[in-house]
Amino acid sequence: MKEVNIWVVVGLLQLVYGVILLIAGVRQFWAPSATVLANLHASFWAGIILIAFGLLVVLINRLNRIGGRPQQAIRSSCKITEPTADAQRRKA
Amino acid sequence: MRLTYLQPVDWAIVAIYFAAVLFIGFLLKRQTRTSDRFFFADRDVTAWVAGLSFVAANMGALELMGWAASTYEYGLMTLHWYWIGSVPAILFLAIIMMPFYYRSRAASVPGYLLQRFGQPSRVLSAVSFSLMTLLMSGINMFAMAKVMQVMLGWNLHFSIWISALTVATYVVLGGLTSAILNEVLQFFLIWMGVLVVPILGLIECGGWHGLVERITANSANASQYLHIWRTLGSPQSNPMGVDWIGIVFGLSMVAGFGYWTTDFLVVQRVMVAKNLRTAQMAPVIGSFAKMAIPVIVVLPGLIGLALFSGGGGGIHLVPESAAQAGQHTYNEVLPLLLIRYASPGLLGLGVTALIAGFMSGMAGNVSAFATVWTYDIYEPLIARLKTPEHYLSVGRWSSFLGVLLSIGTAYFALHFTSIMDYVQALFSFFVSPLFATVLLGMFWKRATDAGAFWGLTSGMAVSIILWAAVRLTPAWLRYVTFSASAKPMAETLYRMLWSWLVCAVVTVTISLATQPRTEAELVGLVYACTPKEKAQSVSWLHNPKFWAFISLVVMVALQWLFW
Repeated sequence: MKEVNIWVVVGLLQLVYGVILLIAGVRQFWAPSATVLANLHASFWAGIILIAFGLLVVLINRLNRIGGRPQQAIRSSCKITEPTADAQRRKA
Repeated sequence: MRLTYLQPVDWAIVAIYFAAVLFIGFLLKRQTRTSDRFFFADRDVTAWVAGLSFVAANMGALELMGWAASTYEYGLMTLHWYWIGSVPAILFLAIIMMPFYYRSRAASVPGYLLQRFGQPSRVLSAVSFSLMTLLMSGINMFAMAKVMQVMLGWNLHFSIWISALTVATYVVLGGLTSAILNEVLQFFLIWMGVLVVPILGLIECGGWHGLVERITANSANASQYLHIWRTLGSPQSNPMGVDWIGIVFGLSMVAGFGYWTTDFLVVQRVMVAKNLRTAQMAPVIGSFAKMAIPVIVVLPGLIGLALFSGGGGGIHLVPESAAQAGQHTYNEVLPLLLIRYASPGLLGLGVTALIAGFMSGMAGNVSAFATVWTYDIYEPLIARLKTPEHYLSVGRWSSFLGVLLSIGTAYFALHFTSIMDYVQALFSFFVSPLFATVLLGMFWKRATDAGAFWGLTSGMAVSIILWAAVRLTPAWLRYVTFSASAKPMAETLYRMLWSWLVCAVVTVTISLATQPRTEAELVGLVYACTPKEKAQSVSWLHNPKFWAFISLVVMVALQWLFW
C-alpha cells in the first residue's frame, strides 16, 4: 500500500460499524433497549444502511482503481487529473 | 453521577475508532520523510479531501454541542452562523482570495503577510495565532473531558491523556496529511453518530409541523424561535438581543469573513491543494457541507426545545451560569437527546462521533500551530537556513510540545473555570483586525508595511480594551453594542466590528503618510498589480465559479425558506 486511501478507510469503517450495529440491532428484537422509540429498531436499520454505504464507497474505489488510475484513485475520487497551467509552470 | 453507561458493543465501536486513527498514523509515518510532506502534505491534496477537512477542522465536538445549546436558547437564529455568517465568506475565499494565497506559495497566512507587509506584521500575527491555537485546543480538551464525565462518568484525567496522546501520536507521525485524513474521517463519523437524533426526534415530535406546534405550545412568544430574519428589526425583539446590523456587518462581514479567510487553521487545509483550481473548488465543496450541518446541530437543538422546554420528560434545562449540582445545562441538550434515542451500539457511535470531533479539532490546531511556529517564528527568529530535515524534526517536536502545552492549558482550566470565558473572548481579539489587514493588503496597493503593523496592533488593542471596559463597567455595554440588553454573543459581534474598523482606519491613515512599495514588488500579492490570467477553458462541471454560484443560490433560497 503506497498511499493511504481515505475513502477506503471511510468505507471499511462504515462496513465494520454497520455489521456491529446490525448484530446489536438483531439482539434488540428480543431484548428491547430502554430508549425512546425503541420499537423502530434504529440500530438494526442503521446497521443495514451503513453496510450499504460502506459497500458502495469501497466498490466505487475498486472500480476507480481498475479504471487505470491506481495511484490517483488511492488519493481521491476527484476527477481533476490533467496537469493545469499552474502545475506546468511550477515544473518549469 | 452519570447519565448513562456504555455497553461492550459501544466500547468496541470506540476502540475500533482509536485503532483506525493510530493505524492511519503508522501507515503515514513511512511516507512522511520530508518537511514538504509533513507541513504541506506535498501540496497534493484533492478537492473533496481538502473541502471536507476545511469544514471538519471547524466542526469540533464543542461546536456541535455549543450550537445545539444555543439553538435551545435562541432558536433558529443560530442558522445565521452556518449560512450568511459562513457561506459568503467561504465563497469569497475560494473565488477572490485563493489565487493570491496560492500563487504566493506562502507556508501560512502569516507567511503571506511577510511577503506583503514584511517581518513585524508577520511575527505579530504568528505569535498571536500560536497562542490562541494552543489555548483553544486546551480549553476544548478540558470541555470535552467534562462532557464525558457528566455523560458517562469517565475520569477527567483519563479522557484528557488518552485522547491527547492519541492525537500526538498520529500528528507527530503523519503531520498535516494525518490531520487532514482524520478530519475527513471525522466528518463522516459525526454524521453517522448524530443523525439518529434528528431522525427519531422528528418522528417523535410528529414531523416538522408537530415540532413547530410543540414549540408554540411551550412558549408564549414562540415565533422568535422559529424565524431567522423577521425578529431582527431591533435588539429587543429577539432572545439574542442582536439586530440585523450586528448579524449582517458584525457576523457576516467581519467575524465570518475574518474567520474563514484568515484563520490559518481552516485556510491551511485548502492552501495545500494540488493546483489552483482544486484550491478554489475545495472551499466551494466545503460551503455545501457547511450549509448541511444544521441538520445535525440546529435541528437537535430545536427538538430539545420542543421536548424539554416545557419541563417535558422530567428534564429541566438551565443556563450554565445558573446551574446547581445535579441540574442539566443547555450545553447538555445534544448528549441528552443522544441518550434518549440511541440504543446500545448507536450510543457508542454517537460517543465516538463526539470524541472524533474533539480529537480532529485538536489535531487541526496542533498541525496549524506546528507550521506557524516552525516557519513563522522558529525559522526567521531562532534558526535560519537549516536543512529541510532539521525543520522536519522541529515540526515533529513542536507538534508534540503543542499537545503538551494544550494539556497544560486543560489543567489550568480545571482549576480556574472562568478562564474558559476569557479564552473564548481572546479568540475574537485577533481574528477581525487580521482580516482588515489581509483585506487591505490584497486589494489596496497603497497599503504600507508600517500601516499594516500599527493597524493590526491598534485593532487588537481596541478589542481588548472594549472587552475589559465592559467587564469593569457593565454600563459600557450600551456604547459598544448600542443596546443595554445585548447578550454576550451580540457583544462579541460588535466588538469584532469595532476592532475591524479601527484596524482599517489606522492602516489607511498611516499608509497614506508612509512610502508604499513599488508595484513590481506587489505582483501576485495585490489584486490590482496582478495581471488577469486567461480563463482556462474548463467545463462548467469543473468550474469553481459555477458551483460557487449554485452555492449562493441555495443559501439565498434557505434564507427565504426560514425568513
